[in-house]
Amino acid sequence: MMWRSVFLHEFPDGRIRSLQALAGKATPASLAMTPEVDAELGRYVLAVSGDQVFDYGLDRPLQAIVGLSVRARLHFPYRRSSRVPVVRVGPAFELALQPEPMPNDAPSRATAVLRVAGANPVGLGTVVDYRRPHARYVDLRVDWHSSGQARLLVDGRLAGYQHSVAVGLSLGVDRIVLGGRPEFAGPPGARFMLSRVMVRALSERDSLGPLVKGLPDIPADDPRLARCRKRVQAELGTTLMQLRQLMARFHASTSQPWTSQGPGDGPFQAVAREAHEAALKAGLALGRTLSDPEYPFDELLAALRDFLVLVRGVLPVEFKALADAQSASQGLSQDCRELLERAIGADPGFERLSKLMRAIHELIMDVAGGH
Amino acid sequence: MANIAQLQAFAAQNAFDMTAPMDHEQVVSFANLWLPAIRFYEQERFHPILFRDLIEMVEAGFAELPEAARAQWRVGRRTNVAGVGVSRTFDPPVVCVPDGLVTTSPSGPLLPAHQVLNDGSAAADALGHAEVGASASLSHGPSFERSNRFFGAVETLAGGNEAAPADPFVPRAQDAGGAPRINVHASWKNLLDLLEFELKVDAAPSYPPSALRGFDVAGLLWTPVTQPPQAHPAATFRNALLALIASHKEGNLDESLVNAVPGWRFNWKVWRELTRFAFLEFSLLYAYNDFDRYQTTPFENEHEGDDEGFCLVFERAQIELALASADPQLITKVAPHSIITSVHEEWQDADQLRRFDVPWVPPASNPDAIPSDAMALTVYVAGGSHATYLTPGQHDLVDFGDTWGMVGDGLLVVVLAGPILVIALLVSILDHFIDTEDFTSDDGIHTGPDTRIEGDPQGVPCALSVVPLSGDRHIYQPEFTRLLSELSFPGKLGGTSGLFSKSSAMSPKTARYFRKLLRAL
Repeated sequence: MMWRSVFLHEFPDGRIRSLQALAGKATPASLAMTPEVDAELGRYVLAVSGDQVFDYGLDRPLQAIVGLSVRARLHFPYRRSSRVPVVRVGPAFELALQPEPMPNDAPSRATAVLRVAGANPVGLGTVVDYRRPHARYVDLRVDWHSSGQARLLVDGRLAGYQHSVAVGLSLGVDRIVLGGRPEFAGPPGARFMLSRVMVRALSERDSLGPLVKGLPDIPADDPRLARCRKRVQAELGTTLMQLRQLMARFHASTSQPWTSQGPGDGPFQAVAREAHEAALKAGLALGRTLSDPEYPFDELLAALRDFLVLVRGVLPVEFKALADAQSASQGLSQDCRELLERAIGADPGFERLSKLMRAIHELIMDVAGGH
Repeated sequence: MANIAQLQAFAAQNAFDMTAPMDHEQVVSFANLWLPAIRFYEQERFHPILFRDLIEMVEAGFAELPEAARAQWRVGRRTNVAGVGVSRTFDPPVVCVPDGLVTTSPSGPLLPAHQVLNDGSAAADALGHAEVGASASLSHGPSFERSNRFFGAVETLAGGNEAAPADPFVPRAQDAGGAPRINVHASWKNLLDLLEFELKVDAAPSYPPSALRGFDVAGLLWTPVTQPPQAHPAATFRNALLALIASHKEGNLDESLVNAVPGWRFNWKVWRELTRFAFLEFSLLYAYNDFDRYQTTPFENEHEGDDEGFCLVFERAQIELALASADPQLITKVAPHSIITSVHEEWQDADQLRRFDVPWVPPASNPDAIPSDAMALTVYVAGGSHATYLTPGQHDLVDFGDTWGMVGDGLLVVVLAGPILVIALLVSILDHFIDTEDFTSDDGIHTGPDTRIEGDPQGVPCALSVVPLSGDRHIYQPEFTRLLSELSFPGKLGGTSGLFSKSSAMSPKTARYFRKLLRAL
């Protein structure tokens, strides 16, 4: 699993401390809160409001976060017009609910609103429509990635999509806050109930984990390797940024903002769906290829080719420019290379990964060349 | 059976007893009283079995096959014949140990070879051989197809071959009457007694490897007060702790004994919890973990052999009080402090803990109720992974491990392996995989106390075996030699040895549960 868990509270008992999270501390006021039993649900829930928030600070704040996935099971009976924060993840990411104003205070809809890094809040889609039959508790999920995509799922169904939210940004995460003061003063006692909250995060390079597993160790204390590492990290960061920008342009070209109210042709063009499927197929094939030392490369290479051809078809100029820039890239300097080769020696896992990487590089160049 | 005799002798010399003041019969009654209802996912093909089923169901299944069909189910191993690798096949299951490196051709690479300990003899007899250690393995062949051949459910309750909610797969293992069975092991462990035994084992020269060990929590009791920490031989810590335990058991705790380790502070909180609690552990053993089949993400684990479970936490003082009373029924009024599940790997910190109100108070409407009935605990087993949860439904699999921290200098090795653009492309693709989920349900097979499955069409009786760990009756006594050779087997429960998927050894989860409990208190 590439996305790391940050926070999970399912209120399994009447103790506010019964949560799972990265190491950290809740504020004393938060620890004074007590989950209560929702008789109809038959489970513990936490009531939060503007004056009663649960605030959990991480001992070691996360840096360079390029993806966040927030889920909440909540009962939101609050129907006035102020925007109510539901979950804040660090200073730059806030998921809120915005009840829609009705002239006579009659029940209307509540919309999920996402704010990332000071940009204008984006309405993602309807979470509860009070005018229609609805369950008391809804499962709300918002996934954001710095390639710009933000998805809203309600009870497992896509309810909203945006393709250009905070493109290219990476965030810091120092705390998780449940609840918060409404944008404008809410009515006294306005509160909503949380039955479950989960936050996952993806740092810029978390997805490297599976590639590294099983490779030989190298001496950690060699200062020459420390210099190599610094240079490589910078170059990888730049390349990842370029690739994510490319994917952001791909998403912007092949999808459109959408909510369950429309547009009627849905958020994704066929090419976007096909690229997504090819990427998933490639990811699964990569898993098998790395897990099994005898698994052939063909399945992975075929899925990657499908994916790359689709991206090149939409962005031919940008794709070629990226490939050309990278073919001129140095990667490791000669002295770093020699140091590492000496440290690693002959290692079958490394040899196989090298062979796979060379095959994928040839594939990229082949596709960039129009084949 | 050299190892087994040594284990038995050591226990006899050290007055083994993990359950005092309960004797074995009392533990059996208490474990039966508190056995929760256990609910499996409807698609589950591998239900809990006994350790001996890993041998007997395979032997029986293999014997039933016509000779012509047997070849494909034999297990292949590279053996060492005077330094030359010779590939052979063996009737399953095989008990193997490493047997050096061999070549298969004059200029070929060195490859690992294995010795099959049950070559021409019974697998059960090989378990306690002196050669059997942590690198041994018991395997019927590491693949889903092989496990499915010998252990996989063959039909659903309605007789079909596609499981569905309320029509789950029927457990393959059968009792003597041919009815499906599910096996669960229970053990009662006083934590302080277990720690004392571990410390004595640590001090013993050449104690054989044993899967019954693993309560490695002594390190939690000591914190260095200087940097670098003041060095002492391991025996200094151990002896101080053993003396402290002895003084505690004599009812005259001498706190000054911890001063025997200068430069280290003793953690009295950990000590309090060790003396305060006993665990009632339930263990469930499966022939195969096919979690991968329930997932749409890469790198999930699939392996032969799977040892899972959950644990009820009790306060020893309440047990002691109840047993000392004149009312023999008072013990039934003791309620657990908490329940702890086990979810995938400990480092993911995904185990769940639910605390209960202590002391338990019967509802006003039924003042005679006993807590085990009133609380009606239910544990849910996730399809494929066999992780345990406290609610039905979808469970986001949490993983609080530091992925980037694990990458470390591996980044340089990856960059040496290939161009940065390739790495970035693969990272971008892997970014898509946000979720791993476990699935639990009320719609699969149910097991548990007879009272909870009576009349339940999805109910399968639970054969609860209580591992004897009491002074009057314990696993190290000669009449339990076979059970000891099974439950102490220190090798891996299978032959899966991939990069991400691996068979692991049986290992009591007591230390893991204790660490979880400490974090929650």
